Amino acid sequence: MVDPNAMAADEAVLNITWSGENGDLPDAILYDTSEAEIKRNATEAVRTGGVPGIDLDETVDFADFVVTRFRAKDDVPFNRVVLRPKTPFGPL
Amino acid sequence: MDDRLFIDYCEENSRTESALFSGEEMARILVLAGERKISEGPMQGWVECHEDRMGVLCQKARFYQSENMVAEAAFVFNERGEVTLWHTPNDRAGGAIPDSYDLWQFLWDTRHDLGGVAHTHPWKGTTGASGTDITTFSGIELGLGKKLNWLIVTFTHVVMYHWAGPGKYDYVLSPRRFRVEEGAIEKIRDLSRIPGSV
Repeated sequence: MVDPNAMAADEAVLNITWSGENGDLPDAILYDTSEAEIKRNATEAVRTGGVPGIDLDETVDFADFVVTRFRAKDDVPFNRVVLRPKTPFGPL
Repeated sequence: MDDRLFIDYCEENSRTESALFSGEEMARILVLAGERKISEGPMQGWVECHEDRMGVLCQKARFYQSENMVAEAAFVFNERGEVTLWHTPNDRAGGAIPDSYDLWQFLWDTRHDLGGVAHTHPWKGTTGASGTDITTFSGIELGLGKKLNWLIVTFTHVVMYHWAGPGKYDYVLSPRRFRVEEGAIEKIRDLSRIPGSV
């Protein structure tokens, strides 16, 4: 598990949601990691059972997921990056 | 229609590329393109543009006739059809409801009793799920680990989609109807007729 107190200012906790489960990647990531790289790392982690709280799933597919980034603030004193499903709707 | 024309028009007039255009603007754009106006009546349209490594490409455009400005709206309902959230973000337009972290968080928080989501395609006549819709349906269901009912509402019709499989994008029109609370369909239509309403 990531120790927020040991994180550098440019690092973040990566939170992942998949198949009704949610968990944090055990290792901190750089806050500005690209979305593509985040998806690659998260895919590898879920495929190998490397996210506490998310069962191993070799079929994991984050193609229609997006990344939301949150800077540290008073009540959550560490950076967070959240990988979650996208939610736009439209006729096009 | 020349897609590049829309980009040039947007840049010259400081419009976003997914903006909703008034009838007067659409008529002007069509004249610039050397095309006849589609109709004499009020007209609206929008274009969706994406930037990739090749540059900016406008992939789709749609025009329709409407007497009023419109914008998409959505609501979330539970397994009993009760509305649990009205979703009318300030940055919605006639072309799309944008991605929203708050909407996702609400779906996650209510997932145990979640029935589905309804959103509007604000025109008269029937409709179908777009590519944007299908990929959103799929992503949300994969994230929640739960299949949902997806209603799409126009000013005259209501259709419902569900996942039929086996592929992740294999959604079909459902022959059955999921009953939502009385008045919800008319309310979402009203919300789609007046942009910015709560």
